[in-house]
Amino acid sequence: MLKYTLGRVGRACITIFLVLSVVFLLMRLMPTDIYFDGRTDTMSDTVKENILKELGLLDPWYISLPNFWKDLLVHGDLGESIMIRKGLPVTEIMWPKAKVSFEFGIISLGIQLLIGMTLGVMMARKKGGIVDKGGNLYVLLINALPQAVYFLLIQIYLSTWLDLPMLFKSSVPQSRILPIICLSLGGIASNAMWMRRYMVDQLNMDYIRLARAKGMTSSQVAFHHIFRNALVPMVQSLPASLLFTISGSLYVESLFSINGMGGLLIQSIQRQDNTLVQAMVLLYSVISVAGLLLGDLAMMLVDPRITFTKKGGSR
Amino acid sequence: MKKWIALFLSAMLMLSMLAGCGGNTDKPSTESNAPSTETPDKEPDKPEGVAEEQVVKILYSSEISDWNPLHPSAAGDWCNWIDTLVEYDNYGLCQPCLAESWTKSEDGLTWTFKIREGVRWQSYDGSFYGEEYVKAEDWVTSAKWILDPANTARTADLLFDMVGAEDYYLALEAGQPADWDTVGIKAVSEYEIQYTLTEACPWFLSRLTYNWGFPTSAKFLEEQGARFGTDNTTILYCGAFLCTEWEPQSHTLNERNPEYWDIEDIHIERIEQTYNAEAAVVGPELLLRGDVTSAEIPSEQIDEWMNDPAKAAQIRPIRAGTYNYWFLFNFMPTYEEKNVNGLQLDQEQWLAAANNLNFRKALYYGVDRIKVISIYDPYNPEAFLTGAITKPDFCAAGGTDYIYSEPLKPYTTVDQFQPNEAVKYRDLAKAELEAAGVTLPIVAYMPYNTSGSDGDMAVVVTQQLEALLGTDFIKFVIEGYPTTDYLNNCRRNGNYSFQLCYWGPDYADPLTYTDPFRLGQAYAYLWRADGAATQVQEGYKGARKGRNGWDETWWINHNYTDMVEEAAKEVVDMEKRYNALAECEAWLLENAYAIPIGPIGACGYIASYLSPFECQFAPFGLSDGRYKYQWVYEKPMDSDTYMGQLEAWQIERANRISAAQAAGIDY
Repeated sequence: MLKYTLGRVGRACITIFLVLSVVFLLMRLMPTDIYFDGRTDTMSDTVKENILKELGLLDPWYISLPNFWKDLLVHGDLGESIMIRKGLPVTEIMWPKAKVSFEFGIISLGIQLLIGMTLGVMMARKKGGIVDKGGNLYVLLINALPQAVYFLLIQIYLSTWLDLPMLFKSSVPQSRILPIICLSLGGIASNAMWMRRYMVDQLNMDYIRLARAKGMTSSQVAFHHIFRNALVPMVQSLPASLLFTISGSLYVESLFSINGMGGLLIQSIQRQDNTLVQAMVLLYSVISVAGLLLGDLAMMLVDPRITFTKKGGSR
Repeated sequence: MKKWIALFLSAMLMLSMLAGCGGNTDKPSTESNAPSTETPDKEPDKPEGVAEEQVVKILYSSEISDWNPLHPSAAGDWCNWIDTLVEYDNYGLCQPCLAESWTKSEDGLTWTFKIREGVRWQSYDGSFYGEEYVKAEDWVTSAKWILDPANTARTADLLFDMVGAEDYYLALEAGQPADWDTVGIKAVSEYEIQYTLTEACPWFLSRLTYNWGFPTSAKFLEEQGARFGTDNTTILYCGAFLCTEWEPQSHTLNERNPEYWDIEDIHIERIEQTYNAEAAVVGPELLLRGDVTSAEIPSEQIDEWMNDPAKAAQIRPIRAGTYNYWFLFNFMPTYEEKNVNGLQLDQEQWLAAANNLNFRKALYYGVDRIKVISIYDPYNPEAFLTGAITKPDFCAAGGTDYIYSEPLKPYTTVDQFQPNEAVKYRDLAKAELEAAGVTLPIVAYMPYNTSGSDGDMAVVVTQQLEALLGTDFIKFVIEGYPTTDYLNNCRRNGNYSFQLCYWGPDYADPLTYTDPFRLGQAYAYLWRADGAATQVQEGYKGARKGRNGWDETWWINHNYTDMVEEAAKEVVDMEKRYNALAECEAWLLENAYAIPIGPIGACGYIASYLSPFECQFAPFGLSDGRYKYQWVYEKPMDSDTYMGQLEAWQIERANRISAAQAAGIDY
């Protein structure tokens, strides 16, 4: 298992190296007008050239790229923002935002898992019943309606009916309710749908019929066998979901004035803040790779039959 | 189960509340260094209908990214935190600010400003920064910082108007020793700052309202080092407001500075700004709930607001923006000569047409300006219609707005959409072009920016021109380009035949609006028009070339550039100067090199509890971002009130400028 993990980590490092290098080079192919503060037509050529020189954008790639890796690997320096918050280390921009997104994300994830999985179990247990039909309708609506529409409806109408603030304010606790609802709706539907699907799959398995034939009650079968086995594929995505809570939600954070990570990557690309883009790509690459790896390991913990060694058979 | 869910949700909420992040709100003890917190002794005269609570609440969707007041050239909130030597009043006349008075030498080259004494530097929390007072040396500190190439200040070249400044910059950039004593920026005494210019600039005062006109405490700059200007706590304040709280992409709180030297003119107590990337969507709803005091109405909601009398009474037109728009004919087409839907794009054919005066006039008289403006403001297009290249309410002489001066009157007082004239010139152009062997119809390439309403505009104007002039005379190929790098892809590199362009003023003089047409700017490349200039080899005496590397050829004797430079030689008699520059503009219009539309960049409607006529007025620099002089009213201004007040304001402004000119006051 250690060998397997090290192998995965090694391959992940190569992937991250390639991704970051490509992003670094692509960002330097972007137009440079944005660095002239809207003065492209009037700024003197001398000043323009100096700005680009100081930003390191006039250096050839075979000098700038090794310098970037040297700074990152030798000094652990991700650099300073050049546009979003000029002069500030990018980590000082990212961490406070990641913290806010994580707060909202972790609560929402808890709600999604709790309500979504409970709903999924109830739908599977009473397949074709009123809960199943209602749940399916909910899943259908959530997947069919554009998020922008129902988020806006929630923000405008639910805030009126429940007398809640339309925008988030850290000093007003109840201003968290609407964004958390918005963040949770999609996840609840997704968890309910997959839990129901996996449980229904298990219901038709021979070992379930055997368990019933042996006299186990319906609840015992549902929770000791069906739920546990249905949980295995669900567990795989859990670490990634947990880690990705820090990436925030673009639209919910925008709509409710939440100062999270949601729009930061897009904003930094639009503003051509190269150092910030690189730092965020690095963060998201690491999260993706770590999420997948931890997902595999979590699956193995939940289901001892799964092993990554040759002896136990490969997945 | 329900109980458990409720319990779980409550627990989660409690956790998140406990973990709630703190802002930058802790105010350190100031003790002996504490300024007074008393409100001004004298109660100012309140206009009628002023709200009890003088608090501005707004949403903002564009976050301040550069807190360093000396670094960027973009507008920001610094003007509310740091004062400049001069500022503009609500009629657009230059007024003393941190400079109590000023003098200029007879040759107009040396300007000396007497600094207001007793203004102290303050921290974001209002405490005084030691015993530091704002002094003349603070402007020298700013200039030195800006002229250091290592700091990459975006306004460095604005200081090149000063003696020795460019050489100083270039020397430092080349790593050579540079002597500050050679630069024409000197603190001649503790409270006197002197600027020496390379040539007389009648508009010099307006230049002082840019970022480079902010003072900076050398002690604080050194103390902060690399952290200077990275947030609200790492700058010093001497302006009307203090930024007491700032959380990135969350909120900003500005509070009235009780120590401000002109506190009597500061009526607003707090400016509460909340960041919201979807401000345009949620702003109007928040305004109706009373949660914000100002919100622009998105174009898709305008009809709803207009059709509801209660809502319609709360909105007014947005004040015209600083950019003026016109259609231009391009004299350096570089687009691909491709076939689009059976229409062959041909650069030579386009150049033959663009060089034909009658062809240009056919389009000049043929564009239905109101139809174009209606795309941006369907309810009040007439208000934005402008027949000049210079925007209205920009400058005035002899009690008359510049665009209504004698030379420009024929173009600005009569609607220039004249279909009969257009058809007349079309027939003349047709005959001339056919005689010259040009194949008709002329195929014009018109790119447009896909963001906003420019696509609709392109469709409307091309269909309207084709219907009026006939598709046997002109056909358009329109193509959308993404907003990213649009100007480089479509205007600066000459990738168009005919398109909507714009320009905003950089200083208070009509000379600024001549820039796009003079030799150098990558707009219409007018010097390449037949007979307009003479092409020469590089190194030829007096030869110039286009900027930004788009046109590498060298030229002399450009007719329009020479005309403008001659007109700009007058630097004492403003009426004479403006008249001469207006003649140049009239020449462009007479030759139909540009088809003016108007300041349509900021068309639309706004619901606001603030009056636009109390705000400092200046279409350049940072003055117009100040909240000084403004009041919050009990209800938003409606359209009728706005139009009435606009007319009265325009008359009063022209009179005040006239009086200032008569008294020989620099304004």
